[in-house]
Amino acid sequence: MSGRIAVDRSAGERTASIVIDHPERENAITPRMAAQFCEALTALERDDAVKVVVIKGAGANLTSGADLTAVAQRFAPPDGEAKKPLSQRARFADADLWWGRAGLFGRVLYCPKITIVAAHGKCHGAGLHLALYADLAIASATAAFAMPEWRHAGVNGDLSMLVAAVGLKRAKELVYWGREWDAATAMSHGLVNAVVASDRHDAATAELAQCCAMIMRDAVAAEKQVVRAALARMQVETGLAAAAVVGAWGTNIHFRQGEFNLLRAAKHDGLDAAVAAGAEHFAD
Amino acid sequence: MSAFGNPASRAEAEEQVLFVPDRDSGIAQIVLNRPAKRNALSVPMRERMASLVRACELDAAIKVVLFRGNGPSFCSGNELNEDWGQRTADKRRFTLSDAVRYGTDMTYGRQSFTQAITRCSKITLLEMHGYCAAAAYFMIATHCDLVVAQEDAKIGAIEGRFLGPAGAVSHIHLNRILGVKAARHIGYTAEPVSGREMFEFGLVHKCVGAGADVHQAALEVAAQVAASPAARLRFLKARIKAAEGFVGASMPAMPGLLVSHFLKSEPDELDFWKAVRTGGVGQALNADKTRARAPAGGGKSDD
Amino acid sequence: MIDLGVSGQVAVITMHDGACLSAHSRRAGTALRDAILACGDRDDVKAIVLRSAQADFCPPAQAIVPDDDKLDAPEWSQIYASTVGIYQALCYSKKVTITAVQGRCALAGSALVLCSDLTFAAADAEFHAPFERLPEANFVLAALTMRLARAKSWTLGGAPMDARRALEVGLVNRIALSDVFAEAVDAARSIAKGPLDGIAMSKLMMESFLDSQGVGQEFDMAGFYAATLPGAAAPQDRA
Repeated sequence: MSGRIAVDRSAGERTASIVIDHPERENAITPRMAAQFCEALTALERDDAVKVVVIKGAGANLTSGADLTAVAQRFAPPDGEAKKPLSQRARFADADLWWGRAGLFGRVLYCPKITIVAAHGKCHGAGLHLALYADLAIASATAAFAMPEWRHAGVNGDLSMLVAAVGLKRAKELVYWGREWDAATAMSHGLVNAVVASDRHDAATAELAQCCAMIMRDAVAAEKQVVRAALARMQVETGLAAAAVVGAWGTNIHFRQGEFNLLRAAKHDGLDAAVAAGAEHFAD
Repeated sequence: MSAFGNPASRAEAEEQVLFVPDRDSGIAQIVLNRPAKRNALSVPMRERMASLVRACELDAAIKVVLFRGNGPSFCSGNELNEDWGQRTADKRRFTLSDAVRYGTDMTYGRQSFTQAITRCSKITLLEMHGYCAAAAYFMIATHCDLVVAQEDAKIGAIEGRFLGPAGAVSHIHLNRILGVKAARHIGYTAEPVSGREMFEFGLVHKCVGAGADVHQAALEVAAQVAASPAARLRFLKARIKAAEGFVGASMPAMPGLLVSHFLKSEPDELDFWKAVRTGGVGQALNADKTRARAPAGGGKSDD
Repeated sequence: MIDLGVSGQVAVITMHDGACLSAHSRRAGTALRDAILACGDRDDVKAIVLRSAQADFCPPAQAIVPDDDKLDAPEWSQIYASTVGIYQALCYSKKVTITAVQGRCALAGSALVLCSDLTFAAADAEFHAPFERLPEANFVLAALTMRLARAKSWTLGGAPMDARRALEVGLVNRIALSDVFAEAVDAARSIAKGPLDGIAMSKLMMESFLDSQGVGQEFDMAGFYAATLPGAAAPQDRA
């Protein structure tokens, strides 16, 4: 499977970038890439010189979300029946990868460095959650935020941070209604901190990183410890745990007549055709 | 709690924090009056604020407590490098015990002015113009029930440039009032945001133009609230306090300032307290001004 | 008092006198509660649209209800404030709930808006804070919906929010271009394209989330709030 996580240290020693690099699938994040992402974070967290970690996508998008190829192969392999029942570990593998203590979102949320997401193009699924869990998000005018998989199989993510950022009724637009927010909407809802023209996006992200890098390391580290307590009091750990459990239940969804089963369609017609058919099913 | 401060700062506090109770209207004003220092709060000023809030608490005729400042700013925050009694001949440095006294009684603790405001059973109202920085932002503004602001007021944890966020990100009130992203932006960039932006984030109840009379606007809001029966206001305040508890915003953050005196700067960072020792607070603040600025977009909405 | 119709996996509940809910009418409360609870158990329903047949979704003044329709405290709790009362039935419904609001929306109307998942507003909609006179209205939901200081500002500031302001603060999801009810039904149909199991799971996640945030605790306080509701808040004493 192609796709990789690159680390870019060209901006000087204080700012490091983690680059999601899988442009042929709109930077979809495979399980291997998610693991690589966590390894990159570990290395940067251990680097005393680094003060700010920027998360960005190569090419035209931040990311289209978790790579469904991997999900489809696990639940509905094209060359035969999925193993039934799925093993206990398989049911929770996905959950752990994203929502578990060592999962990608938890690692970004609790990162001791200041984290900034540079959001552009598709910021779907994991892309929206990276923008949410990083400390700051700076969007290009091209950015579009959505949780398409929640329409297919119900919400399987933490709601505590989402609601604390955008408010309850707006969060429910993503949870139940599959709306997509453009950059200006995401800004007015409180999901991102700034929107800049796409030709200014790289420079503005670098300026923001430089500004954050002026805050004392020791002070940031201390604040991050206290933030951990604040997040606990805002029940974020409850939200992450619920996401992990419900993520595992997604394998038990029963589709009724007239409902669209993405993974079944992917098994028959291939993933790209299934995604297109899903878009048509849900088109207003 | 003993009275902190030195003889001079204690003597000045009564003039630096004025009290204007009006039992007919039900509005008591607590007025910061140290314009030459942008109403920087000395320790005795904070103690006086706390005791005035407690006095309002006992006065059945008072329904609304209005905080405001004389001069060009509401308040620039807590006074830095103040001698509040910690400098004694027998010790050479700021001790952990000093920091504990400072971090609890003088800033965030249960007997502090912050908690006196957040716990007040009257409706608390803040009139904001000029700078509302540092402690004025996360120890006063976020704990008042209603904020009336001039649109060009400059608000934020701008002391974070040299002292770190010191609770400005972890403060649950801020996260619940501004949203988690704006709270982080203010805490991790230390950039000020305007009264208009704070209206858009949700801190500010009423925003008035740069040339408008913000005091008049605040008095109008105060009068409108005070027109309600006291029992009704107490009932609503009880509901608000209960809900704040349920969403985790019933108390201030951990005493972040406790650690700010003991933070270690790295060789590539400004050592603020060392700069203060060698050149004074003013020079240390100026040394900090060479730092990079955040790009535009700290909270501008698109409409 | 309540009409209930189901078509295309969307239930429509039509109220005819929201003001009676503000006055704690037994008949109006029981009818609405039963309709909400009934929809929650039907597999042929995925979304519920709640609307009013009148020009005002729910006017600020309480209706005068006949003496035999007034509730005592235990009945009020049962029909309005308990876990099987109107507001919790709506807030924790297994279906996606949408309020379609036109005209004035106060007291019971605003409490219903806070409990519903999405809210569509007509351009003339006007939202009044319900907390001063309605002990069962949930302030935590208001704080989670529009942020804490705005919820305080709405409650203490006295002024209602127009539709545009309600959209800005997140109390409203959309302002209807022409027909608020039709647009709410369109959204409900769009939502109903999702799998029933997925919607049920999302609602379960939401219930767990709301209770982790204190929404349930706030509902549980309603009886205590009612006991301390000042007499000055009664309609005849208002300034």
